[in-house]
Amino acid sequence: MPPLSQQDAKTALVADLRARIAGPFAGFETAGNGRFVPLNVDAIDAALPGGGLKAGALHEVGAADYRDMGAATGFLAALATCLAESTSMPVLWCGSAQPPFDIGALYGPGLVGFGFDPARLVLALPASVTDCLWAMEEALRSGVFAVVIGEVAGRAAALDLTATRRLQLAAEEKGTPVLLFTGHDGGAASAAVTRWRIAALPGSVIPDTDEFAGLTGVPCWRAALTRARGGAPGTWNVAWHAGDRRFALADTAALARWEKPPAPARESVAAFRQSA
Amino acid sequence: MTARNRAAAAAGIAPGQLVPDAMMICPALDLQAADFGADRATLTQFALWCGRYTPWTAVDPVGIGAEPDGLLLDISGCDHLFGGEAALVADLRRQLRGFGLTGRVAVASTPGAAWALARFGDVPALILPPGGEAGALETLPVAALRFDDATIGGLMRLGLKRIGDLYGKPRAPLAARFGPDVARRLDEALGFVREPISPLRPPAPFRARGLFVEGLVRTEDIVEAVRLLATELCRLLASERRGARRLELTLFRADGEVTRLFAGTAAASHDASHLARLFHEKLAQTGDNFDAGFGIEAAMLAATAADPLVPAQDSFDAKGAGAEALAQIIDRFGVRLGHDRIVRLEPRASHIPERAVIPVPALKGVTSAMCGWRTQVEEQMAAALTGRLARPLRLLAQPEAVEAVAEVPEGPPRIFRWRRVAHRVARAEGPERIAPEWWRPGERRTRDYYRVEDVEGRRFWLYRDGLYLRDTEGPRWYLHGVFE
Repeated sequence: MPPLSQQDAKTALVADLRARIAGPFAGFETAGNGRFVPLNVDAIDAALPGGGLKAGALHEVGAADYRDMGAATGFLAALATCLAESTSMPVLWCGSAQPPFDIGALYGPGLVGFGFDPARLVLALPASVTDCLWAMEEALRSGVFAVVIGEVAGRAAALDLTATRRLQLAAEEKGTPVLLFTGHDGGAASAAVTRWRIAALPGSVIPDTDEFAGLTGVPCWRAALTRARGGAPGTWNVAWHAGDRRFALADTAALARWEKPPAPARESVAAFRQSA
Repeated sequence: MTARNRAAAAAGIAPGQLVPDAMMICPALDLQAADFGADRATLTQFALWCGRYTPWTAVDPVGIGAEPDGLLLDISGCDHLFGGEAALVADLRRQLRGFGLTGRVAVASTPGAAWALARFGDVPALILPPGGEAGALETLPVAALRFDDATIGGLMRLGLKRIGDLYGKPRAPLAARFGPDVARRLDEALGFVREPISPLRPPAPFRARGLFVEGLVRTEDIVEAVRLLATELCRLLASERRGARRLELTLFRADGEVTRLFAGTAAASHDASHLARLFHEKLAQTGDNFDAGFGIEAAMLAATAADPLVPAQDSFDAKGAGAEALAQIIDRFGVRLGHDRIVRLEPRASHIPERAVIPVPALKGVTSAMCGWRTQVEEQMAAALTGRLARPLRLLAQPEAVEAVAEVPEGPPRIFRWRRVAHRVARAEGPERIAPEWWRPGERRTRDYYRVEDVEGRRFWLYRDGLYLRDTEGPRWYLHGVFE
């Protein structure tokens, strides 16, 4: 049948062209044959090429605001948990001994509550961003880590297109995912496959537990996918369920049922001023 | 007068003279104060440098006079590396001349004989064939037997001036008069009693050494030399089924400086390329700044600690291979970043948040205490829904004081100001009361921790330091951590 064979020829031609383009543009590859890790939230997975986060690729996570750095760390740790779950290999976290925006060091017991086993964590504290990038690249090329995480918050100036592309190429080599925490001032040119901006969101309260009315609930974030090569950017309200280590769309209905926090009473503000 | 140069010796100055006497003999004498401390330091440095010949080097504790004035090298089994004893001595003397030093060298089968011949022999360099001690020492003065001044004086008064005079003398009267030293020193010199040399540094059981005809200056050349040494070292290690845990690379510069570089490994290794790469990174870190001086002319790579290798079956056990690769990359991180900068977290049995976890060098591998995390994770999973035991993802190194206003004294804060930004608290849970560890010194107060969420959804870990009325009138608030 001529129409079908024509269709076949077209498919073959497109595949051939894709292969030829992929050569010189390695490092900018969008959806190759690599492994994809779904986040198990249909709306987000549909927006990502390949139906999930590409394993052998660079992903950037930034905070929408300085005060959202904690939230962004949480999202980063949640992504790392998802990406590392299929293996038992260790996770490398390159922090920094002296972070310029000090929001504290990674805290083991906090990770426990996050569904992340700190025994798998290898923590590097490079003194300079050069050492940090070197360590990340070597770790990616060795292929012994499930995920490599780099914290370069506040030092994003050193992260130009060359540096990120090197990371991307190293990630492709062994198919190790690499997450880069860029802090709140990220946004320079980058070879990252996806880029997320995270803002805090009031936690969804746990339904049917009125006696725990004070509980702050599961962590929730407003996750904005500001860049996705071959995908569709978007913004979602996601929640993290540490118990079964999965993302879910934030239960906005439960949030709405929760009565709005009372407007700040003028008296209490006055009291604050008096005491200050 | 402790030392003099050749011109002074020609003018008749001798060690032991008093300064006024010496000035009388030669009024133009240039006097310098003796610095015994610097002499000792130089000798020690020189003994280190002599490590290029043999690992058994020591500053000779006995010299003529009160201060040490020589070195002892045990070259048994090392001379063939230089082409025999004569070639070794020739090389040593050439090097000494290069440093501008005049040295006297004697090779003998006993340290005592070598000591005597180096200081009292007729020629500046002498190699005594084994068994020739008695003949060679016969004509030397008794002072050559390392006695103290009183003993020498006593022997001289008895007319025992030469070592040969002591041969065959009855031991008992000598011992009764001078103590056991006379007979012992004589026996040591003649080889009837073994005399151990205690080396400056204990020699490593596994070592490889290389001498380079032309000094190595370029870092790449040094790296290549280290690779060759590592190959040889690994051959030695493999033959004993051992792997190196700690390595020491000693580089001998042509100008006498000795550079020592150290590296450690997380798991016993006899992988030559891995060991060589550790030093490669160490040298590369210094880049072109590595100061090779006039060139590296000898190098020694030693495994200062070696562990038995656990036989690993790579083909079936992919996990084992991964562990080895992990150990190797941790070694390399440790060399470049410092071993205290590549860590794992270990839980500690403490309720005080900052003491509940400590970093341990990843070099040590997964310690048994880290299994505690597994238990914690399981406990946490069981209690996840209730949000108990919540701990922040990031903990500040130092709790930061915040201005806070609470609705009731014992309640959670209603509003607080951290780093000049006011946060209105929408929800709070707590308190989780953590009492101080009374068995530790230093005054600490009970803390009431609250997990609070501000109206924008950001979560913080705050505590009130101290209890109302009991500890303090007005407790202060601190922010200790940031939640996800």
